[in-house]
Amino acid sequence: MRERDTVWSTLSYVLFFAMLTSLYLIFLFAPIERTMGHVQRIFYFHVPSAWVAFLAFFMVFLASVAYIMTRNLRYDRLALASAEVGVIFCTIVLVTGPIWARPAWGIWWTWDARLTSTLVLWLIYASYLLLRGFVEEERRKALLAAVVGIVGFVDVPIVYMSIRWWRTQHPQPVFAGGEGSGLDPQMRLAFFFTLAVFTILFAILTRLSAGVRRAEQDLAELDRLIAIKE
Amino acid sequence: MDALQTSGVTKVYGRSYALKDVSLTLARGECVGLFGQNGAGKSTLLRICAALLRPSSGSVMVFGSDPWKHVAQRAAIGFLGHGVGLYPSLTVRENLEYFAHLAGVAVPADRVREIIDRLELGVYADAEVRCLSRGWQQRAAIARGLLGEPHLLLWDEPFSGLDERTSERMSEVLIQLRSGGCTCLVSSHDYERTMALCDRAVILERGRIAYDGGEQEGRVAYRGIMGLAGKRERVET
Amino acid sequence: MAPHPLKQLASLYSKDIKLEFRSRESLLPMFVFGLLVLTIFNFSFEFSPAEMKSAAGGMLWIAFTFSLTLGISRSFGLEKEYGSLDSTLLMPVDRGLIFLGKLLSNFTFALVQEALLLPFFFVFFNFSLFPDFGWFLAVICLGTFGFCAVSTLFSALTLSARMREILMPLLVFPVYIPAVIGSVKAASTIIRGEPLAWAAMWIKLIVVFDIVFATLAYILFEFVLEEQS
Repeated sequence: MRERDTVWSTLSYVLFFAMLTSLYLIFLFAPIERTMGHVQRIFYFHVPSAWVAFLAFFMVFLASVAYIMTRNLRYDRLALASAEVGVIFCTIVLVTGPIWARPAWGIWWTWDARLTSTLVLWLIYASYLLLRGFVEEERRKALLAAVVGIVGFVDVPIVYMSIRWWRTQHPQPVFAGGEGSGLDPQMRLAFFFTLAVFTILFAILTRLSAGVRRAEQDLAELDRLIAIKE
Repeated sequence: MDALQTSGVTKVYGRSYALKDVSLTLARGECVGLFGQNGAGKSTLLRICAALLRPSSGSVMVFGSDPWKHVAQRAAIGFLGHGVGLYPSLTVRENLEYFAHLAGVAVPADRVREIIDRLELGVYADAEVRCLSRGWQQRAAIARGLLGEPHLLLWDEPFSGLDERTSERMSEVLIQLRSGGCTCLVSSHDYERTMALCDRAVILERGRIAYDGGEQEGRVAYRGIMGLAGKRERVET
Repeated sequence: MAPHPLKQLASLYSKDIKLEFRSRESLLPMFVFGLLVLTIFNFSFEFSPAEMKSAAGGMLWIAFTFSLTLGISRSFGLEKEYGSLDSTLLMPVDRGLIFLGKLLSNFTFALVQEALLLPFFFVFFNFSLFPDFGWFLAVICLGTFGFCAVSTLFSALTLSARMREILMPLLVFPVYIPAVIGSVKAASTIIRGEPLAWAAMWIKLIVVFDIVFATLAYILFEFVLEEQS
């Protein structure tokens, strides 16, 4: 257990410096985008956040399946932690999106396939978290949440496809070049570096959050044992 | 093969144990009374035995198999809970026929008629359940539990809220079933009445088995446990 | 003498129908609420007849799903009364069958309620029968089936939660969005009298949604009921 803790705390230090490096790469190293100017730099936060959100929701799905199979509360803690972190990053995507869209496309919000799908995802996982708040008993909460975690994730590709079809019947907002395609090498470095940093951040946050849950559950167990001894 | 075997059953509710490490074995044909204060875990234990609740840890075997894995095994269990367990806006007969179909009884209508006769429900057989008094509802509830000819009876406070005559009648039914080879676990607040039917007493105290044995010592233990906490015995509703 | 699954399913289903016809507690409020939604739409928008044709599909769908939520969210709650759900669970019945029985009865109530609402829809919006009316009904059936599958699962799931009347739509609607898109698009295409081929893609989408979620709900239902009592 100890060694693992050391690994994680080392990783946190690494992350700290990696984040500083990432900020340097984003704001000083990467060139200014030709048409959008400085605003484009939000891209380095926007896209990695979306990646982390998807990754997190995928983790919720895996952990939910694992919980139903094993009934080990460990997986439930992982599912909850991932969902919390996922919703936070999903919120970041939804906030940075309009900030970027306004100067780039001249509109705050567009019902574009990706943005809309992200919004739907946010709604699904926000209600997942709400459900957890409304069920009392630990095991029941874990099981019901696992079911929602599975249903929600299965919905993701269907949501995405349906919204894409829905959109194709409407004019697309003009993209200033597809994301990821034709990126300047310096931009690419900044982007992928930030992506890695965000992924590590996700892992650390999830672990911390699951750890807090673990402590809460241990405390409850102690409470119960004390109540019996009295 | 025992009729009922729970091993290390623990059930956690929030910050307390409803049951803590309960291991209980009922041999075939045994009749056991289950006692304890309100909140001691009697109902939880019975619901876990009936496979209505899953234990937080531990396992339950009914006639040697896990009723969660083998759904058909549930037919062997006759559970009577706190609720009536019937649809209030259907008549007694409609209710019983519905459950008889689910239980896979060969000729449901006949079986229902037989059960109605046995529990002397005839007068109210075609009345809606919600219109019946508590005593008749309880009879109808017991009738439902007997449809599938169960071998293990789990009755949660069958005598509560019943008048003397109906309680007597319930006791008779239980004696009949016992002589037919049923294994019974009956929870109650009425030690004397229940132990007149049972040959073993189990007393729960705060989720754990505090006493498991014969009737005479059981009475002493029962008085001790019910009085020990110094709490007023609340009237069952 | 293992009980026959189809017979069990039949008794699960007919019990629900019988209960509803005794009490009429679900259908009537559902219908009146649906009517209310349609009426409020008429106040909220003032469309030209052409615009109306584009918007009608969406309005109809909102009226349907909102009122269905009312009824379906109670479908298991009713059974909890008097502990009758426990009694059903005590029987040697496969959990999936309990789901199918409830799904079919909810689907039946939904179709009855929609059949009652549709005439009002035509009258309020001054529509006459359009070509491909059969397909229009098919779209309604398919969309409704998917909705019933998802909401039957979630109505059982929220049974032991606080605030379940609010929680259930919160869970159902985000998941149901793809089928909403499909149903509204397909219905509007048909209402506008556009070629049926344009609606084909949307109908396929609804079918995929129905199959995926009916299957998933069937599998997961077992776990939802496990911790209910």
